[in-house]
Amino acid sequence: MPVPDFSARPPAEEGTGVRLEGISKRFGKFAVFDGIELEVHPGELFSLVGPSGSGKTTLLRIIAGLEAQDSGHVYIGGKKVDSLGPAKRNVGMVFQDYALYPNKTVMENIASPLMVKGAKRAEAIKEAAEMAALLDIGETVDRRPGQISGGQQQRVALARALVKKPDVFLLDEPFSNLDAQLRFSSRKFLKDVQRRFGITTIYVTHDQSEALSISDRVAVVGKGSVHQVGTPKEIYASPADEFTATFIGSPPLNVLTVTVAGGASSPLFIPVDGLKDGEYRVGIRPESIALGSGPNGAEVTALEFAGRETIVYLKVGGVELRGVVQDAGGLQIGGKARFAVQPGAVRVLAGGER
Amino acid sequence: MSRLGDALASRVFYLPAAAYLVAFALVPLLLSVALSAPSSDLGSYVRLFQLTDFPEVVYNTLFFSLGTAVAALLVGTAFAIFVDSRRRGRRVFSLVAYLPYMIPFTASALIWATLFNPGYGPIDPILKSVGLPIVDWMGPSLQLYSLTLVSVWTAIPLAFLIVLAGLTSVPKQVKEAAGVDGMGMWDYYSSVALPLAKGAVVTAFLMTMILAFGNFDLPFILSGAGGVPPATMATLVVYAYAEMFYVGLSSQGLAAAVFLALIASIPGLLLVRTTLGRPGEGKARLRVPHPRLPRLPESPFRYLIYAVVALVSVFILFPVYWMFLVAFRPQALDYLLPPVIYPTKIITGVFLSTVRQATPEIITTFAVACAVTAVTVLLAAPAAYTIARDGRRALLGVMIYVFSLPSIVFVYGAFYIIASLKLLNTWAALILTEPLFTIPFVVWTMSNFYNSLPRQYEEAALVDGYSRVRAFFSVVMPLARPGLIAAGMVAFIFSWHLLLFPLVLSQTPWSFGFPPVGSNTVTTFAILFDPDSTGGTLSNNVWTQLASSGIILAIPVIVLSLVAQGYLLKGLYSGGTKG
Repeated sequence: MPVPDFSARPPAEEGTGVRLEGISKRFGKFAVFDGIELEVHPGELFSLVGPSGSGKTTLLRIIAGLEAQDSGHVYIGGKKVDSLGPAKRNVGMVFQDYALYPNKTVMENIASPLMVKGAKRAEAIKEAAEMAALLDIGETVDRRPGQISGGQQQRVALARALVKKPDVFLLDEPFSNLDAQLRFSSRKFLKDVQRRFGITTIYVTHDQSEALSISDRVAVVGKGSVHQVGTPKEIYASPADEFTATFIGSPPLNVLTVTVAGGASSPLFIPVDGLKDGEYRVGIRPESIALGSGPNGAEVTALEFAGRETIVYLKVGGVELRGVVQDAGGLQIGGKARFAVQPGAVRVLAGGER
Repeated sequence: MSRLGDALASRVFYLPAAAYLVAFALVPLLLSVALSAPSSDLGSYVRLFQLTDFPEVVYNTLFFSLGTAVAALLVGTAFAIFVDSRRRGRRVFSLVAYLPYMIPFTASALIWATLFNPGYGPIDPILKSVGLPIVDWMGPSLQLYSLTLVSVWTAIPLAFLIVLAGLTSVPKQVKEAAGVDGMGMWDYYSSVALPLAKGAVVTAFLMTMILAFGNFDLPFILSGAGGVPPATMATLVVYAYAEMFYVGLSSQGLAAAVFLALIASIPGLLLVRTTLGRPGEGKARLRVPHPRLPRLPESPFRYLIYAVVALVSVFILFPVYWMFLVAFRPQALDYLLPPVIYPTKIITGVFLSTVRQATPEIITTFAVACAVTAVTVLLAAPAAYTIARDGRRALLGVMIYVFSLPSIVFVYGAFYIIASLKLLNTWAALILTEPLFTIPFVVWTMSNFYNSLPRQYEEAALVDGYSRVRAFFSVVMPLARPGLIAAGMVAFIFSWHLLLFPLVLSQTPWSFGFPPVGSNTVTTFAILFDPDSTGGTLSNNVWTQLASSGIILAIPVIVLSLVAQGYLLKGLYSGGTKG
C-alpha cells in the first residue's frame, strides 16, 4: 500500500498529554481496576498491551468518556474531563469493528463529525475530501462502507477520527480484523500518519509484537493493573515482573525455579555469578539458549519451523525450555542436544538476594 | 424410523401445515369468493358499489386503518427512541408501551365504551378540570375518530416493539462512534439509527395497518355489538358481518369481505416483499426513499419526545386503571354524577360472581386455546424448520399473506364447512378453525428462530447417520424448546383473543357434558355487557361486571405475554439493519 505524501500538511503541532489519576472501576462486584496511574506524553504513540480480559479496552473507553470510572480523574491537556461526555473531550476514536455508519457514503462518514460540529456542508465535504485523499481512499468516497475492502474501511475510520483534529487519538485494536499482510503495512501507515500529525495517540492491542514495533512507549496491562510502563526496548530487555516477562517476546520467556548452591545450580546449569545460595525464580530468553555445546544435556521434544528461525523445545531435568536456532540441521525430535545459557542472560524475577 | 431422502423429508415437514391451510384457509376463501357472486354476473358487487352508504364505509375503513398505522407508528417510534436512548427506566417505559397488548381487543373495546359514555364516563370530568370543552365521543360526527383513537391505543405496542427491535439492533460501536463524533439525539436517530432501522419501521407500519384492516372486535363492539352499525362508523368488516349474519344478504356481505381482502392485499403483499427481501438473499426489498432531514436543535427534539411519552403514558395507563377501578368497586358507583374516578371502596364480590358465572366459558376458552396451541405447534414447527433450512421462501410468503388477510373473508366459508360437518357449537369447531390464525404467525416467527440456531448440531447429527426427520425430532426440537414454548404461548394468546369465529360458530355456553356441546368463549361472554349494545341478554350496563369480564379476559394474556415478551420482539423483526 503506498504511503501518502504528507508534505502538504502543516508541520506537527505540540500535542496534548493525557493523565490518569487513581482510576478505579468495577462491574458489579468485580473490580476491573483499582487505582490506575498513567501519564501519556504529548505527541507520543502510547500502547496499552495486555491479554484479553485485562481491562485495557475499558481503560481506553474511560479516557474516551464512553465508560465512567468509579473514582479517580482523567486529565486531557491538563484539564480535568471527568464530567465531560465523549463529544466534549475532543477525542478521535477508531473502533475495533470500525463502526462506520453503514447507511452513509464514505464521504458522509468522514464529514459527519464536522457537520455535527456545525460546519457548512460544502466546507465539511471539502475537508473530508482532503483527508480522504491524504489517506489514499479518495476513489472510494462515493461508495458505502459495505462496498469497500476491510483495509479501506479501516482507513475511513482513521479519516473520520482525524478529520475533526482531535487532541487525542484513540484506537481500539484497529488492525485485529485485517489479514497478516495488511496488518503489517497498516502498522507502518499508522505510525507515519501519527508522526506527521504529531497527535497524542493511545493504542490498545493484545498483540505484544505490534505494540513493541509501533509504540514510543508501552504500558503492560494485566488483570486490571499496570505492570510496567516504558519504551519497547526497556520492556523487552528488563521486564519488571514475571507477568511482563512472560507476556512480552515471542516465543515467550522461559520462567523456571533454580536452586543455587555453592556456585552451581540445578536443575539447570546457569551462569551464577553474583548469586548467593538460595532458590530463585528466573527468566531466560529463548534466544539466550546457545545450542551446540555446553554444560546442559537435554532431550529435544519438538521442533517448530518459524521461517527465519526454528523453535526448539527442550526437556532437561523435568523442566521444559524453549530455545531458538537459525539452523536446526542436526537436531531431531527425540534426539539429544547440549546447550549453554549465555552469560548475562539470566533475569532474576523473584527470590534470593543478589 | 426409516431413513428418508432430503426432498421427501422436506415435504414431510411442511405438508401437514400446507394441507391444513388448504382445508381451512384456501377452501373457505374460495367458498367466500364463489358465494359472493352466486349468479356469476357479479350482481352483488354491482349492488354493493351502488349503495349510498358504500363510499362512506370505504372511507371509514381507509381512515381507520391508515390513521391507526400512522398514529401508532409515530407514537410507537417516539416511545422506542425514548427507551433506546435511556439507560435507566427502560423496563418501566417498555412495560407501559407494551401494556395495551396485554388487554385483548374485546376487553379494550368494552372499557373504552364506558370511558366514552356521555355523562357518566370519566373523561368528561377530566376534560372539564383542565378547562377543555366536553365532547360527545360517540356522537355521529366524532365516532369514527374515537374508534380510531381506541385502535391506536391497541396498536401502539406492536409498532413500539418492532421499531425498538430495529433501533436496538444498531451495533453498539456505531452508537458509540456517534457519541464520540458529538451527535445529539436528533442527529443520531434521524441520520443513523432510523435509516438503519428502516426495515423495522416499514414492517411496523404495514403490520399495524394490516391488523386494522381486518379488525373486527373494536368497530363491532363500539358500534353496539350486533345489529346494523351506523354508516358514520361502519368499516367494511362490520358492514360485511352485519350483511352476512344479521341482515341475511350473504352474497352482498361476502362481496364486501372480498373487496376488503383485495384492499388489504396491498399492504399484505408489501409486507411479504419486505420480509422476503432481506439483504443478502438476493431479493429486492421494498424501496423507501429516505429524505435528507434538516438539522433540528437538540433540546426541542428531546423535549418533544419526552412530552409525547408523558402524554401517551397517561393515555395508555388510564383505561387499564379504570378497568381495575370499576371491577372492584360497588356497582352503585357506576352511575353517579359527577363520575367517581378515584378508588373509594374496594369489593371483590362482583368480580368473583362474574368468574362463577363465566365458568363454562372460561373452561371452554382454556381448553380450546390449549388444543389450538398443540395443533399449531405440531404443524407449524416442522414447516418453519423447512422454511429456514431448505430456503422455502415462497412458503413463508404464503404464510405472511394468509396472515394479512382479514378474518371476515374466511368466516362464512368456515361456517359452511363446520355446519356441513355438523360441528356447530362444539369445541371441535373452534379447535379446527382457529389454527388458521395461529399457524401462519407461528411459522413466520419460528422460521426466524430457526435461522438464529446454528446449523452445526444438525450437520453433526446427519454425519452421525441420523435421517433428517430423526435429526429434527431428536436434535433440533430439544434445542428449539425455548422458541417452541414461546411460540405456543403466542398461539394460546391469539386463540384466547378471538371473537369473530366463536361469535359465528358458537351459540351456547358449554353444558358440562361429553362430548362437549356449547362453545361460547370468554370474549362472547364479555360482549353481553357491551353498554352500546341494544340486544344484550343479561342485565345491561353493569360496568362492574363488564370490567370484571375484561379482567378475566386479560389475566391469562398478561401472565403469558410477560413471559413471551422477549420472543415476540425477536420473532417479528430480527436484525434487519445489516447493509
